[in-house]
Amino acid sequence: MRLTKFSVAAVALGLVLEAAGVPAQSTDAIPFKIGISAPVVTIFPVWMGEAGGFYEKEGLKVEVINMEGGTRGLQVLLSGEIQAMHVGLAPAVLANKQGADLRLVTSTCNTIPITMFTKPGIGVGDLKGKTFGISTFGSETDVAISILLKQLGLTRSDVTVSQIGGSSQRFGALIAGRIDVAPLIEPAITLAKERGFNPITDLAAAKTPWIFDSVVVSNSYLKANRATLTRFVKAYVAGAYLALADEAKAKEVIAQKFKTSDPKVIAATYDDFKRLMPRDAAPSREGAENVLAQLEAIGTDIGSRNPADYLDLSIIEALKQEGYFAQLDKIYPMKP
Amino acid sequence: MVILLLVWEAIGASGLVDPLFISSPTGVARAAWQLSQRRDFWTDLQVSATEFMLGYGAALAVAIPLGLALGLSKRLQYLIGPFVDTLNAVPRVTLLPLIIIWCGIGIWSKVVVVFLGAVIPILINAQSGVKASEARFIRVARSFSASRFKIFSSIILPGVVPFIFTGAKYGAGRALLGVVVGELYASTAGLGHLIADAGNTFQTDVVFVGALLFMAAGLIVVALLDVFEQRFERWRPSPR
Amino acid sequence: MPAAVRAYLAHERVILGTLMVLLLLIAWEGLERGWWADALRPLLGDSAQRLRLKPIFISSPTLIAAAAFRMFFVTGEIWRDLAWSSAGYLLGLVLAVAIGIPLGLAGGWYRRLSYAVQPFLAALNATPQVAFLPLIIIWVGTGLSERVLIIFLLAVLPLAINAHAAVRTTDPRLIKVAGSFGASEWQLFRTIILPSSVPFLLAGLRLAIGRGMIGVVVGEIYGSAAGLGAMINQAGARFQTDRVFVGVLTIVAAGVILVEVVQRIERRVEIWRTPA
Repeated sequence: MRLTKFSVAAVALGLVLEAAGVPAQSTDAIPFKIGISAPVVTIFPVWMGEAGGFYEKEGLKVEVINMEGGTRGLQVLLSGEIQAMHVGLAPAVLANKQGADLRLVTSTCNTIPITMFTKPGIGVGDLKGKTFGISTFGSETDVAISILLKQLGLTRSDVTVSQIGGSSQRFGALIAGRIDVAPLIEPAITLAKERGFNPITDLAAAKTPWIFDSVVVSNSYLKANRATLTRFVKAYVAGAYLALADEAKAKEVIAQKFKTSDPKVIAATYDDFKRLMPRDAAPSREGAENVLAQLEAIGTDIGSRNPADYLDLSIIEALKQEGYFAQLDKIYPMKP
Repeated sequence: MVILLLVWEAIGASGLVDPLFISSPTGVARAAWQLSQRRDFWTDLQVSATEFMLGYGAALAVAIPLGLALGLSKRLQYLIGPFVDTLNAVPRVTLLPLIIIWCGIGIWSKVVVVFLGAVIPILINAQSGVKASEARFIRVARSFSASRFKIFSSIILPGVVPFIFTGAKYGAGRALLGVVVGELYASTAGLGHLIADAGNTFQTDVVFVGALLFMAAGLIVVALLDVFEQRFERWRPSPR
Repeated sequence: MPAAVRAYLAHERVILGTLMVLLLLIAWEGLERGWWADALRPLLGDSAQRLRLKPIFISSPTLIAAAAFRMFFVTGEIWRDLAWSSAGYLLGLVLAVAIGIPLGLAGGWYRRLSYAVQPFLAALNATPQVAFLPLIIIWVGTGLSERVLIIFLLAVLPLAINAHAAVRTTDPRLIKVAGSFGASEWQLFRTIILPSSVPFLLAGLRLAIGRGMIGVVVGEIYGSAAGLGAMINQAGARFQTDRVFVGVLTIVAAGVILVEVVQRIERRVEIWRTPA
C-alpha cells in the first residue's frame, strides 16, 4: 500500500506547490480574467485601465493573461478559464461558424495596424518558398498573410507558415532568422525599422476597414453578467481616455509594459494608439462587413454574414446614453 | 562522457561551427547560472513540476486500482478493455487542441495530457501483472482452499508489484513527454514554454539548459522509483 | 434457456465489448444532439441544459463520420496530408532501424562499446526526447529533415535498447558450445545471436512505431505546409473539432495497421523458430 501513499503524497505536494504559486486574492473585488493575443499597441487600454486604477475603482480584480495568439485565446475563452479575450473579429467568426456564440463588445482598432517585414534583401517578389511567422492559425495575422498572398498571386502551399506567437516573438524569430517574413504591430514596427528590416507592405496605410482587436465574450456570459462586463468596459474606456489625455502617463506605461526605453519607439507606439483608437471604443459595422467579405474571398467557410451576429453594441450604447463618454471628455480633455 | 564534453567545448571554441547552433558546455553552464538568478525561471520550474506531479499522481491513483480490477474480473475487462486498447493506440498528444478547449491554457490542460499519457501504461502493466501471477500461483492456493481476499492480498498483490513499477517507470516517461509537448503547444509558463521561447529566438544555450533539466527530471524520477522498488523487494516475502 | 446462456458465454467478450462501445457512441451523440438534456429536463430542470454540448467542444460520432467521408472521398484533401506525413514517418523509422539496431547489437556484443554507449542510452531514454525539438529546429529549420529527425529520435531508443538486451540475454551456454566448436565471431553472431534477437527486435519495432507517431504530431506542431499533425493543429485553431478527430483517428488507424503487420511477422517468426 506504499504506492497509494506515494501517489497521495505526490498529489498533496503538487497542491501545496500550486497553492504557494497563487497570490492571495482580496475577497470583495470581483475577479475578471482577460486574455490578450500579444502585448501590442491595440491592447493598450487594457493596461491603462490597470495603470489608472480604474479596475479597482469599479470593484474588479482584473488579471491579464498573454495567450500568444488570438485563436488560442478564444479556445481558452471557450474553456471558461477566462471571462473575456482581447482579439479581432476574424477568429471569432471561425469560432461562431463551429457553434460558439461569441460577441464583440468594444474595439481598439477598426483597421489593420500590421506592417509586413522581411529580412533585408528579400523583396515582395521573392516571397515564394519563404517562411512566414504568425501567432496561431486562424488568427488576424494568419488572415493578413492570406490576403497578402492572394494580392501577390500566391497560395498557401507556395510558402511555409509557422506558428511563432505574439508580435514580439515574431520579431525575435525574424531577428534570429527563424522566419523570413513577419507581420508586426507597434512597438515592433519601429524597432524593426530601426534594425534595418524591410517593410514590404504597410497594411495600416491602406486604411482597410477591419476590427482588429476587441473585447470578445460569450453571448451567455454577456447576458448573465452584463453588470460586471459593463464595469470592465467602463474602466477600460476610462483607461483609453486617460491615455489620450495624459501623454506623459501613457508613455510611462508604454515604457514599462513594452520593456523599452527607446523614446522613438515609445513615441511611435503612442502615436499609433492615438491614431487607431476609436473614441467611442465601438467596433465598426463597416469593418465587420469587410472582415466577413475578405474571409470569404480567401476561401474561408463562414457562418452568418450578418454583422449583428458578431457585434453587441448594447454596453457601449448604454454608456453613451448615460453620458459616460461626455463625462470622460470633461475629466480628460484632449488637446486639439 | 568527459571526452564528449571536451569535444563539444573544443568545437564551440574553435569557431568551426557557429556557436548559435551548438553552444558549448561552458556557455550552457553560464546560461544555467544566469537563469537561476531569474525569478520567472523558478516559476517555470514550479509550474512544470506541479503539472507533472498532479497528472502523474492522478494517473497512479486511477491506473493501479483500475488495472488490478481489470486483471481480476474478466467481465470488467470485456467492458472496459476496448476503450483501454483504443486509448493506447492514440498518441495522446494529438488530443491537445481539444484539451485546450476543454481545460484552457493554465496548468489543468497539461495535467490532463500528463494523466492521459501516464495512465495507460501503468494500467496495462498492472492488469497483465495480475494475469501473470494468477496463472502461476492461484491454482496452488485454491487447492489449499484459500479465500479470495487471501489470494489477492498474499499472492496476487506481491506478484503484481514489479509489473506496476515497470508500468510506473514507463508512465513517468510518458508523463514528462506530456509536460513538454503540452507546454510547447500552448502555455503561459513552464520549462517547455521557456525552451520554446528560447528556441524561437535562437538562445541555444537556454534550450540546452531546459532539455538537460528535463533529462535530469527523467533520471531522478526513474531513480526514485528504483529506490522504492528495492525497498519493496526487501519487504516482500521471498517466494521460495 | 441454457443454450442461449451458453451462446452468450461463448461470445461474452464480443457482446460486452460491442455493447459498451455502442453505449459510449450513443452517449456521445446524445450529448451533442441534446437528447439527454431533453430527457432529463423534467428531472433536473434548467440545469439539464448543461448536458447539451456544442459540437465545438466534443463534436459527435455522426459529425466525425461525415467529416471523414468528406475529407477522404469528396474533397480528398486528407490524402495529401497522409502522403506528406508518411514520407517523414517512414524515413525517420527506417533511419531509426538502420542506426538503432546495429548500435544496440554492437553495444551488446562488445563490452567496451557497451560501457561507452550504455550511459547515453539510459540518459536519453529517461529524457522526453521532444524537449530537443527547439534545438532541432535551430539546426535544420522546420522542413522535412526536422520531422525526420524528431521521429528518428523518438523511435531509435526502444530499438537500440531492445537490440542491446537481446544480445545480453542470449543463452550463454549456446555461445560457449559454439565457441568450443571453433565458430568464428561472425558465425556466432549470425547463427546464434541474430536469430535469438529477432523477437526482441520486433518488440522494439512495435514500440518504435507508436513512438514515431508522436513525432508526426509533434514535428508539425509549429506548422508545416501539409501533414496530419499540421492538419489537426489547424483544425483545432479553427475550432473544427470534427476534423481534429478525423486526424487523430487516421493516425490511430495507421499505427494499428503497422503494429498488426509487425505482429503477423512475429507470429511467422515464432512458427519458424519452434522446430529449431
